[in-house]
Amino acid sequence: MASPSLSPSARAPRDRLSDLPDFLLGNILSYLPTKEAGCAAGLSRRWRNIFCNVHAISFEEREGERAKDWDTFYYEAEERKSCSGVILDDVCSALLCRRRTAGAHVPLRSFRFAFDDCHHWNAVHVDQWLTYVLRTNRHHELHLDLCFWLGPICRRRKRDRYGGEEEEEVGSGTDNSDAEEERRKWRPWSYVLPRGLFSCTAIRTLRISNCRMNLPKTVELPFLETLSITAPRRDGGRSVQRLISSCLRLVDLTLQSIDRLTTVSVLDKRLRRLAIRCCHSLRTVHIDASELRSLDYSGAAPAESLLSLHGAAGIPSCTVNFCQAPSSESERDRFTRFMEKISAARNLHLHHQHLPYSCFEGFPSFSSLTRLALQGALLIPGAMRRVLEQAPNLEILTLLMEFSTVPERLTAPDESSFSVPCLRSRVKEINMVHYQGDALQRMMARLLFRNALVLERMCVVLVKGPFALQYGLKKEIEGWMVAGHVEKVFL
Amino acid sequence: MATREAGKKMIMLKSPDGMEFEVEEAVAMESQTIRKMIEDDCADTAILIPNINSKILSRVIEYCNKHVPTTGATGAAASDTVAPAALAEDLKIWDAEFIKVNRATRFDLIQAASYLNIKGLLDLTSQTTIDTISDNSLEEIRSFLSTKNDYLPEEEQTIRRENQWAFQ
Repeated sequence: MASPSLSPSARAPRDRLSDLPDFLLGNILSYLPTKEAGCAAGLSRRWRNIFCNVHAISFEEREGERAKDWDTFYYEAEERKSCSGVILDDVCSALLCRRRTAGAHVPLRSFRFAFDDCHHWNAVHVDQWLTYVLRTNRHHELHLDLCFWLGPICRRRKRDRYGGEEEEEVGSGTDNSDAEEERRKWRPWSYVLPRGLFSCTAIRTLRISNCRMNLPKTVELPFLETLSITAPRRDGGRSVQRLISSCLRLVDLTLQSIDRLTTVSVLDKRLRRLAIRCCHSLRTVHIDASELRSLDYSGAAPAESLLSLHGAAGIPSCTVNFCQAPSSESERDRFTRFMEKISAARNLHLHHQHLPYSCFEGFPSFSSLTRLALQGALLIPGAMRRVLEQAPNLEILTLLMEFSTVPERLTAPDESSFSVPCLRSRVKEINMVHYQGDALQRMMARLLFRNALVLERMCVVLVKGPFALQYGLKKEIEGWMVAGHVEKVFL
Repeated sequence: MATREAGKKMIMLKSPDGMEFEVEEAVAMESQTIRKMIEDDCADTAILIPNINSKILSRVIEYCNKHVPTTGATGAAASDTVAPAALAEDLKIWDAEFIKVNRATRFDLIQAASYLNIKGLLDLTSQTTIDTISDNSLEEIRSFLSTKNDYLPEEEQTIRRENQWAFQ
C-alpha cells in the first residue's frame, strides 16, 4: 500500500467519480459484490462512509459446500452448531457496517442470500435479518431473493441428500397440511418465512427457494412485480395460487419444481414473462397472454391442454427445454403440438439434448423466427436442415454445442443440399460455441459457412487446446467462408 | 388526466444553454421526475432541465426514445398505443453501443439519470462504471480514478480493522 503522498500531481485529471454525491456513489457500489463494495472504504477519506449508501447486500454459499458436513466431524463430535458460519458472519457484518458508518442511511433495497443447505440453527439469524430489512424499508422498493438450498431444479436430478424420504407424495390439493404432525417429524426442517413479509408493501421482487411460505390469512403485496417460487416445502398448490392471485401488479412469474401444483390461473393481470420449470404435476395453466413477451418452459412434452394462452398474438421470445426424452409416438406428437403453439416466436432457445431425430421430422414452421439458439449435442445434418428450412426469416443462428459422441455412420451430405432459403438470403450471423473440431462439428461448420451467402458476422468459440490445432481449425473455417466482408471473431 | 388519451402529445424540454427539444410525452415520461411534473400539471409550457447541458440531454432523450415501449406498461400508462416492444436482446446490444462514451460523458449521464430519475439509464451507467473498476486492487482503482490515498498509515489500519469482513 503506498504511503500518502503530499505533493499534488498537477498532471492527473480530476477524479470525476469522487465528485458525485454520496448517494450516487452508494448506488454505483451497489452493483459490486458486497465485499468489494465494503473494501471501497479503503480508497480514501472521501469513500470512508459511502457503505451506508450501498443499498444491495448479497452473499451466497457454493453449491455443495454443506453437503459433507454431517457425514464427518460434526456428526461424530455431536457438535451442535451451524456449519454456515462464513455466510452468517458476512451478512451480519455487512448489515452492521451499514448501521455503523456515519451518514444518512439509505434503506436496503436489495437483499439476497443463498444457503447451500440451511440448517435450523441458522433460523434465528435469518429471522433477525429479515425483521431488520422489512422494518427499515417500508416505503422504498425492496427486492428479496431468499434461497435455502442450492441444487438442480428438476427433482428427477436432485442430489439425494435426505435418503428416499424427502417430500413424499401428498394429495396435491392439501394446503399447509398441518394436520400431519406425525409425518412431519420425519421430514427435513424447513425455514418458515415470517408472516410480516407477506404484508410488506415495499416488496417489488420476491424470490424464494426451498422454504415454507405458510401464508397468513391476509396477503398484501400490492406492488410486487416479480415473483419466483422454487420448491416450496409443504405448501400446497392452493397456497401458491393464492399468493399469485393476491399480487395485483405481477408481471413476471417463475414457478420451479412445485410438485403439488396442478393448476395455475393468471387471468386478472397481464404477465410479461412466465417461466415454468419442472412442475411435473401441472395439468392446466391459464394465462392472459396478451402482453406476454417471454415464455420459458421446462419439463416433459406437455399435453396440449396444459398451456392456455388467452388473447395471445404470439409470444416473441421462447425458451424450451425438455428434461425427459419423448419416448412414445404420442409424446412426439405432443412435442410437435407444443412447438406449433409457440411458432410465432421471433426468438427461440431450444435445448434439444433429449430430443431424438424423429422429433425434428415434424418440426413446425417458424415463419417469424429471426434468432435461434440450439443448445445440446450438435444436431445431425438432416435435423439441422429441417430446422433451418422451417425458419425462412432466420437472421442469427447460435449453436451452443455440448459434449457429444460423433455418430458412427456419418455420411456427409452434399453441400448444395444445405442451400436453404434462410442461409441464401437472410442469415447475417452464425455463432458456434464450444467448437472442438470433431468430424460432425467440422462438417456442420462447412455446410453452414459454404452456404451462408449474406453472412456479416461470425463467432466461433474454440475449446482450449494447443495453438497449432486451434490455428488449423481457424484457417479451415476461414477457408469455407463464401460471403465477402465478414466480421470474424475467434475466441 | 386529460392528456392520457392523446398518445402523441408533445412536450418541450429546455436545457440551460438554450437548446429546446420537442419530445413525445410518453418518451419524456420515462423520466419519473418529468412524469411527476406532468401529472401535477406543472408542464404547460416548456420544462427547463437545469444542470444538464444540451449534449447530455440529447443523449438522454435518445435513450428514452429507444426504451419507451418496453418499460411503459409497468408504469401508469398502458403500452397499448405504442409500438410493439423491441426484443430485450436488441435493446441490450443497443445499450452497449450507446454507453461507449468517454468517462466524463458517462459521469454526466449518471448525474442526469439520477436527477431525471430514469432507472434503466442509471442502472446502465452505474453498471458500466463498475465493470471498469471491478476485480482490481485498491491501488489500481486509485490510479484509475486518479484519487489519492489520504489516510495516515495508522488510520488505514483502523479502516481495515473496522471493515475486516470485507478485507478478508
